[in-house]
Amino acid sequence: MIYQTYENGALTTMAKALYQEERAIKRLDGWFLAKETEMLTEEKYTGCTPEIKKAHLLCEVLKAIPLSLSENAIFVGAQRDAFAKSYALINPSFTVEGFSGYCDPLAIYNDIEPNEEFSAERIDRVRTYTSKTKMVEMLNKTYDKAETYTKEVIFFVEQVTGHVIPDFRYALKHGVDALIKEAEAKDGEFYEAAAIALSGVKILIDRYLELIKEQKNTCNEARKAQLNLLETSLKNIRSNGASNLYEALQLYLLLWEIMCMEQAPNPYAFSVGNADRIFEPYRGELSREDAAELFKHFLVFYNVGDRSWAISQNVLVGGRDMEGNDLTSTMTYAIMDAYYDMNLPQPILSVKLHKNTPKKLYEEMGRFFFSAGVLTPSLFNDDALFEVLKNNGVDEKDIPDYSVAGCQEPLIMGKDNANTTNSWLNLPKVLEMMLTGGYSAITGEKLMDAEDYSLTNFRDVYYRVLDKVIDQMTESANGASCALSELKVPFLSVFMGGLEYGADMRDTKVQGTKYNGSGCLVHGLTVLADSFIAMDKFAEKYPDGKEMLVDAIKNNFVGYEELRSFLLSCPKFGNNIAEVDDEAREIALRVSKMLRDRKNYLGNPFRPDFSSPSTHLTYGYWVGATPDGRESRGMLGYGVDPLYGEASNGLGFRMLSNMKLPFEEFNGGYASHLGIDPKYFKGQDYYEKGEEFHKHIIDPLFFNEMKEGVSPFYLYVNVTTPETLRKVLANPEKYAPSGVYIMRIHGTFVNFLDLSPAIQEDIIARLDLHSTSLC
Amino acid sequence: MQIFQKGFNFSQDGPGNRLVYHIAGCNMRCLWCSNPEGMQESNTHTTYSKDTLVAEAISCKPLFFDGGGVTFTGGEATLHAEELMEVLQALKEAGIHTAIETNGTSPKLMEILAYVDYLMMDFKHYDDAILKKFTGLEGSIIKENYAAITQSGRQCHIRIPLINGFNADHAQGFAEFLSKFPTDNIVFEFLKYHEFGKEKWQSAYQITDGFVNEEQLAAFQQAFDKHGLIYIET
Repeated sequence: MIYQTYENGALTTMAKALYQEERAIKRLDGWFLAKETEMLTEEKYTGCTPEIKKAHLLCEVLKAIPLSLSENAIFVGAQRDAFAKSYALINPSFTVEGFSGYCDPLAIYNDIEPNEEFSAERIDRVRTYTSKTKMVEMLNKTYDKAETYTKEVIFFVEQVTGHVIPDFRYALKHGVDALIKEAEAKDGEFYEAAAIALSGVKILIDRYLELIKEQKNTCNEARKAQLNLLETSLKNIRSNGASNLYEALQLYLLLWEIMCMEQAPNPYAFSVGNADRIFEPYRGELSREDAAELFKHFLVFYNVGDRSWAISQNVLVGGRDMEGNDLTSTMTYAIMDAYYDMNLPQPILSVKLHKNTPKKLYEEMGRFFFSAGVLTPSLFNDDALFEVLKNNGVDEKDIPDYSVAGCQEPLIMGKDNANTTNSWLNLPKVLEMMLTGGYSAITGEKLMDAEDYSLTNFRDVYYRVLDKVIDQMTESANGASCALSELKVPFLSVFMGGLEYGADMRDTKVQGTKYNGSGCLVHGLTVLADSFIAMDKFAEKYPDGKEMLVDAIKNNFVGYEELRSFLLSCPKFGNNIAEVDDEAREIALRVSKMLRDRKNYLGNPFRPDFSSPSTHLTYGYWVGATPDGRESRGMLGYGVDPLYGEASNGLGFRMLSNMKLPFEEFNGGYASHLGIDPKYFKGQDYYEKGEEFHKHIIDPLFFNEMKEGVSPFYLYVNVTTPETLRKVLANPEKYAPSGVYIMRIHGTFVNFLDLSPAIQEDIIARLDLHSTSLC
Repeated sequence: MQIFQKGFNFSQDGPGNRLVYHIAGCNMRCLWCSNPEGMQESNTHTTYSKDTLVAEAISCKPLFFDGGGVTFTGGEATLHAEELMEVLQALKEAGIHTAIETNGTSPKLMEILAYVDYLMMDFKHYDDAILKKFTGLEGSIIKENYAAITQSGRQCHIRIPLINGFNADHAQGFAEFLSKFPTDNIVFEFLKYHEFGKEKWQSAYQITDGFVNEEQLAAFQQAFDKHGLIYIET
């Protein structure tokens, strides 16, 4: 049907035109209209329970938001109205110095520029309304209490919106009516709220049908045929399940739109999940090429405004089942084709690998890794992650459904609310607290109490200080989660197990999802390991030198240049040196245990996640000089990677150090990046190079038979050189004529040209090709 | 053992993924050398004892995939033959595959080979006068070693750096000389001139037009084909 309506190639042309239309959008005001609508209609629902009120307010928003339908669109729907122009890293005004230690829920109102339609007074009214909500009040209390810890980022906490993976499969198969019926058949406020929220799908579809009807009056015959197809499909999925790929993609996008609107503004890092498995059952007779064309429109949907502001939305393909059978399908390759041809900044692509992943998949990935300026997928090791998840209590039948929320956090699709970015821990700053007795080496301010130590017992003391910090951090993190629970999410909860558990997924008393936890992003692992070893060496050389070391650190090594040279010459992580690699392993083990021993608001463990999404820069900025010889305010190591410049013996040695880490502990995830010089790959074409990448990088790292314990399970790469990136910056018209040059930072793609200068420099620095050279 | 560089490389320094140690000091002065910093023993980075090196190699075993192991190169790996043999023997005892890359000038090469699983030897020129002019050494021992190796029947991978102005127009002479000996277990490889090391020489670099063209390479391939010599590309 779809290909009787659209001429060959037309879908791709339209998708590319649609993306250009999106990139021309400079203002994002929909989220503000949503908040304003809630403010203006709330009174109608006085007396309702919070869940039911929220469901009604969602419907009010869906009735009120302005809708549009481009002549290049083959689907209706947009997530644009849920996002603001906020995300720091792609904001030109982002600076490393700008971190405030405070997640101000009202700051978003600074992201909308007043104009004739949205006057300063109008914006201020909604800001004031928001400021009086219970959520903001609770959050402020939490931040106030933790202020001395967060102002220079000993730790940081935040309320986590987005960051889960809804399971829309049941809705795609059986339709929205089936869900409403199920909700209505059960008693309880949550179920009532769920049914109301689900009716929002019909509200939205009916409004789009009206719009289509209007457009049909004025469009040409060819467009009318397209709109007829859209109309027929919408009428079907208004109640029923999808009957083909076109309808499945359409229904998925509408559910996504409402899910995001429910959490507007800025519910970052929702994930599509295992997209090839979700959509393959609907592909029917469509060829790989035809399915790819349809999927291109799906991809355009995820790009919001001029810089693709809805960041970190993950699409996964590939992987295996519990028996080890490969799960790639025609849809896997269709999705990859769509990605390659469109090369958009969002959504991000991740590929799940296992030891029996077909060679074809690696070969086809070659074009992503070895085409300049083209997106590269993140890589996950199913064999290892399956073990990690199993060891952390995930049922076997759920394990293959793990997906990735945000950058690299593994969560079970539709069953896991992990509050992934709830808390952020800065290990080197804690070391600074111990060394200085709780005084900042940056500002001199007293930030906390810390017990005295000696050069022989410093490890024990460090862990005691850390214990105290983690106590404070988890208390604050739970405070932020409880504050957020004031904002109910009945619509999303339906797709997170709510109809089974009968509770909102944010409920702090009844667990509304099968799995629940809270995340902690652990920063500076390798700086701490390098520092501990340097302190050992220092103590051997200067057994009575404690005061000298502290003075050197407080003075950023000014006057202590010789000492700094000595500290820099001490063994560093990333060079396959046992004593420092073992230290990093020990720290990772202990910190993971300390976190897992802490419970969140529902009594579930915190999940260690050794990642640092650009916060290795912003947090490093608040850490004074460290005993490894790192200068004050310098960056921390990225994720579990060696500190930039400290691993100089090439990729093999770096991999060997990395492989000693206890990956079985990292059930919250971890981050690791390799900048790889393309010159090492000699294959004749992308396919051969893809297979070389498999043999030289992936097999030794992920599927190494000599690795004891759980293998590494995550990696992202940028295959380029600093010289290439500097050329792109100097002459974007020549090297990126489309205005888009995709790079990876953390789990997400970015248009390199959209990034703030600080982040562009970080990407260039962290390519760190000495650490990854292959000869 | 004086090591000025180490790192992993796949398949270009022997089979599989290999840990490559560059031993400082060389008895040749090849004008195109891409590691000139390794010519002098005084330019050393790290001193390794036998035990340290073997322990490191053992810790690297997870990366010796596809039949990999340890390769010694230079500088010239065989300058300190006794020391090298001790380390090679210890590596073999630890179950690690060994390889060396050599310019073939060591009188003790055949002795060393008792501990070498995979041998890569340069054969830069058959004409002693030209060889001496460009490398500082004439080639009688190299030829003796080549003869001994071919007659021993052991595997050997002979590498010929092709450099315009030095040997790139002498395809016929190479093929004729090399085919005088039994080559059933020998593979050859042509290494086309590159300038990866040029920057290290700074202004002292003397090769001005070293790149070889397709015709020159084809002439080598044809001459070797004609003489039944097998060549590979790694």
